[in-house]
Amino acid sequence: MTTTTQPSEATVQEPSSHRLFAKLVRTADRQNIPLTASIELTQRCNLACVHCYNFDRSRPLSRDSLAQELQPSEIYDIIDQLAEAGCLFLSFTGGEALMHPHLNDFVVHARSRHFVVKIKTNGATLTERKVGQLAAAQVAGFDISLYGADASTHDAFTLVDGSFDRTMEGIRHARRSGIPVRVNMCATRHNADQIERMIEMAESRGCGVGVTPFLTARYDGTDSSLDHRVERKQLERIYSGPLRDFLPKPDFDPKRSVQCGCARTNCGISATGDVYPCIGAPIPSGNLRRQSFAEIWKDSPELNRIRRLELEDFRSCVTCPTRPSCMRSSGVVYSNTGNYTGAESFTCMDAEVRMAVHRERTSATSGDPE
Amino acid sequence: MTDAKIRHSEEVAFRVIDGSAVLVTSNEAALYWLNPVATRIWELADGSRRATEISDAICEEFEVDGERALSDVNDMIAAFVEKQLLTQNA
Ligand code: SF4
Ligand code: SF4
Repeated sequence: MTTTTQPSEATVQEPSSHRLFAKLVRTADRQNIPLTASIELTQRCNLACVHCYNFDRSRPLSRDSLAQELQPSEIYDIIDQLAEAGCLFLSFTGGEALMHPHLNDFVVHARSRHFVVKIKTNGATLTERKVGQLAAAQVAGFDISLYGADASTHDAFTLVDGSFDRTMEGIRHARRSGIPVRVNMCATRHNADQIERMIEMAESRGCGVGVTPFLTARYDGTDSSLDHRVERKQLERIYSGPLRDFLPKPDFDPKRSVQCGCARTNCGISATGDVYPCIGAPIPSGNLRRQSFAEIWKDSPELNRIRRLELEDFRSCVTCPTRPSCMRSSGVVYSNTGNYTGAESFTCMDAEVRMAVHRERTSATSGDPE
Repeated sequence: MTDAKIRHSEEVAFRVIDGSAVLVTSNEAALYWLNPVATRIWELADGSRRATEISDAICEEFEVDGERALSDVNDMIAAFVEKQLLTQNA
């Protein structure tokens, strides 16, 4: 055995290593491996959030849509195909994933195929019993959505009385079982002044935190979801207040990409088997009832078009002065404008505010704006 | 150690990516990336083989000295059992 192949020297171990994870993503990117995938198990949900991107939940989900949803046998098969394609990190989402009667079986199956399995949920039906079952099935974590620091704000957003209390209860059960929880918050015009309290609530319960101000139009073409986005003044307060220490530093590299892992290391699968470049970029790129995942992933014109994009193809972005601080998501831009390579006024405004906060901060500390 | 069958711990998630096994602990606290020989040992440690059998396979596939291979396989198993990535069945 040569030195480089000795098993005793074989492991590269870097607990919590961002560097190793970044290397893994780069490798997946080079090889076009869908390292992360989300499967939308159903569009059914126990809540009716006003910003929901699935469809306008002031109307019921149509029987037709429900009838089209993937059957359990199809979902097992998709999990197998994703494993075959090299996917390692799998999220079950919805709608509300916990409403699927076979969720536990899907987790068990995905674990037997050696995935890291997470569940995106509103947490409102996460009872102690359910958490126990999912812990036994070895779920790796929950991403739980929170829309306000109190019941009146959260429930006015989900349109379901009592949902705040139940979600907080769900978080409690999950944490008691030791399962990692990340609390995801959409900053909206309704809760903008509660973000600090929401972060404290999550952190004091031992949860990770994610905050985003980006909302999208819906799969059904309606866009009243966008009416709930934060206003500029609110965003300025959030970025110079509670999120001040979380804002990534602007990256002034002129080659800085405006692309993400869409269609490269990431993919999404809709409740009816459509393959998307990302669950947040609902561009139908093939359907798993007609083709295998491997065929779609390799040959889909839509996915290949995204893979070929260069910075220059994002015309508004390439010369943009706020690109260094921009958190542009092509999925959000596509959902809101129909143009994957375009720009979107809210995203641009967000980047301007980030840049302004950064400049204010650096000039206060060093007198040098960059 | 040599009498026990070696298998992956139930808590670990993994995938062979670009010829190398990537292991992730259940709480995602640690990520491991194995080189090709360690990857092969990992694949062989599927619960059906003892350390000696894994080492025999490694000797054959990588044309290495038997004693050295067994010692390296045992080292890796011991390290991985300690990290709860592998377990040993009697
Ligand atoms: S919990 Fe999620 S799926 Fe359900 S209504 Fe709210 S945003 Fe939509
Ligand atoms: S701020 Fe707007 S134009 Fe500039 S990089 Fe971001 S999305 Fe593109």
